[in-house]
Amino acid sequence: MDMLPDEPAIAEGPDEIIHQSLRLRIMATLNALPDGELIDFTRLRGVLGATDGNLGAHLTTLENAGYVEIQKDFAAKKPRTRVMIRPKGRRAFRRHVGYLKALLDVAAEPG
Amino acid sequence: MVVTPADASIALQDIAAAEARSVTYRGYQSMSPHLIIWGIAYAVGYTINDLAQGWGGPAWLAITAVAVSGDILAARADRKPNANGAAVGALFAIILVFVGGTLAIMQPRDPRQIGAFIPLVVAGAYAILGLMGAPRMMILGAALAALTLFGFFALPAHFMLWMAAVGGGSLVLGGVWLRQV
Repeated sequence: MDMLPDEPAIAEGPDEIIHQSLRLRIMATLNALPDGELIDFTRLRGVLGATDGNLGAHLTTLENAGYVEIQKDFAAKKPRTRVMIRPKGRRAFRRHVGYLKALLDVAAEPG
Repeated sequence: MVVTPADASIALQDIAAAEARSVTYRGYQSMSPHLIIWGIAYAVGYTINDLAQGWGGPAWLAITAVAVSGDILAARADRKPNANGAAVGALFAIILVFVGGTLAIMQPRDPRQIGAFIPLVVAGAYAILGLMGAPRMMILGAALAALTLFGFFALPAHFMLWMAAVGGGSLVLGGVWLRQV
């Protein structure tokens, strides 16, 4: 039997790291930025409406998966934390979005 | 992990909202330096208009050249490699031609008319940017238009100073506001 076009995407399953609600929004926010662009932790926190601790914990999870890069340095003698999506993270995010869309497409098919 | 179609639908909506928010704030970040540059230009230009009326025209030519150079440098420093920046640049290039053409045809005698007309057109451009998905620009456009009209009709004797302080100041503050999340 032939597979439907959406079936390979569904067969791969969801990305369990990305699918968590805040991590999904973190990845969507970072994925909308140009390649190689860093965003300040405080700015990211504001865009997402997250708390320091919650955002930090989820960023660490994404960093451990190799999806984001966290850079810490000093700007005007003040500590600064910035975040950037990595190519592996972009690919994983796009694949996960593909999975979600495929799931909806299959659910919308008659029968 | 089991993801239902309902979960997928909610997740895709969350993604779309987060991406839109990210793009909007990124756009604000890009626009911010341009507003600050033009706020300073307004402050300097209108002050010269008030203090040395005969020098208004040449001063504005020099100030515009410096401000546009600043715009180009700010745009180059911005990493955003998409079509939005080019579209915004094209919008303001069109406005420059429109304002130049209108002033050449109408030939206003009163410098206050020129000093009010240009910020009103710029305010209109900000409103257009607001409609293109940057609502803060709509607010800034409305504020600039309201302040310009108030100064023109209510404070005719001090219009240039009004525009230098309030018009320029509001643009600088607007630029700073755009940097805030």
